[in-house]
Amino acid sequence: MKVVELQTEIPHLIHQLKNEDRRAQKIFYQKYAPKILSICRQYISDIQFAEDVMLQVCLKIFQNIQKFDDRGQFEGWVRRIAVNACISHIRSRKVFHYHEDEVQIEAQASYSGSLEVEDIQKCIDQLPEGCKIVFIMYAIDGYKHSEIADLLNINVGTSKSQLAYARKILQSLLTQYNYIQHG
Amino acid sequence: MGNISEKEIKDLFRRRELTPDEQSWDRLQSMMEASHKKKQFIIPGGWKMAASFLVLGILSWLWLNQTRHNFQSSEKTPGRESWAGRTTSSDNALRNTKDMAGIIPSAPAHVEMSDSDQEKKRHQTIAVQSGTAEKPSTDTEDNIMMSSQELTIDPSDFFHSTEVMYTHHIDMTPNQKEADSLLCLAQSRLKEKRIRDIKSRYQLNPDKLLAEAERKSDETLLKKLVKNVQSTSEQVLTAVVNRNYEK
Repeated sequence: MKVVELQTEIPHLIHQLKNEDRRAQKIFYQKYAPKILSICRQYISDIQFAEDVMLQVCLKIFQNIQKFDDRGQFEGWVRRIAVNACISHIRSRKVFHYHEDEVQIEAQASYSGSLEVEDIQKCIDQLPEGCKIVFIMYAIDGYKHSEIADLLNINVGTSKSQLAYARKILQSLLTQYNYIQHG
Repeated sequence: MGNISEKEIKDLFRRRELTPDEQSWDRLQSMMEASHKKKQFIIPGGWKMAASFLVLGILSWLWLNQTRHNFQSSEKTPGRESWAGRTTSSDNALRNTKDMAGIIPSAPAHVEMSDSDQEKKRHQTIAVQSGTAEKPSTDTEDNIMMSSQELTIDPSDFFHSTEVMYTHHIDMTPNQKEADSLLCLAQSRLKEKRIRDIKSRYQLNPDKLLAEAERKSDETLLKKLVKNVQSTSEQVLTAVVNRNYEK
């Protein structure tokens, strides 16, 4: 019942946003800002910077809401804008370093331990910048290697190797973390 | 202790929501207002183009108008350049009439004035020739009169110049440069006149001095003559000193 309600709410909200209704903007902020901040936090370790990017994302959405066509998924559109903003923010601050080590690890890598999302976030934050972005884009945001390569201006092979490298490091980090936490 | 797959990580992160700072909404509002203001100031590209074309058009029209006007004025005054180098009385007359044209438009007034000046001048020359000329006074009024006599308008020149002006439509508005040059000329002439007056005042006549000396030489001619010579030499010396001082 609640899902149906939300489905009918969103087009109305979009319509109001297109009319630059300040109340609708506040409703959007209250509804989507936590999610956008979560996406930004995945990529950006510093919460203050993540919040700044979140605000920029909201502003961008309000400014470009006219470009959104109602056929697509609104949340997906918002997520894409947020990811692009995070990438451009990281790009503006420093150059990515990609480690070209060829590491072969299974695609279905598993990490042992009962970990909370914040613990995983801490481990992800410790990853090198280049492979961290590739890992988040691939494993959490569901981008394909070709899309990642396009967005980050790298080869598909580099994207794959970076993902493997990130997985390897993350696995060791999570194991280490789990060992420290639970003995 | 179960295993955490990438899918589980994905779900964990997808479900996660982080509460932003309380002041974030206010910050966002201020950002929105700032961007809205910026948006208001943005002029569409078409308008910019139109405005630039308009400005260009106005500027080119003004320039064309100015060049046409200059060309016309240069065509209307063909002999003007030949007068520029001359410093004759007719030139001065033309300048004077130019300056006076705004004040006294009628020609006879000028003619009368110039006639009276001529008469004064004639009287003065007769007086000088006959030797009954008075010593020139040091009053400024006289100096001005003298300078004005030098800048008098010859009637024939005046008529010629006015004729030229009327036929060639010369612009009668006073020119600052011309006025300045005239003022400088007048000042220099006044200075010269003053120097000439001082010189004439201290000029010595040797015949007069000799006659005086003869008249006074009754008893001891030689002594008196020596005395006179001494006195006159003193006078001469003082005169020379004064002249040098004045110079």
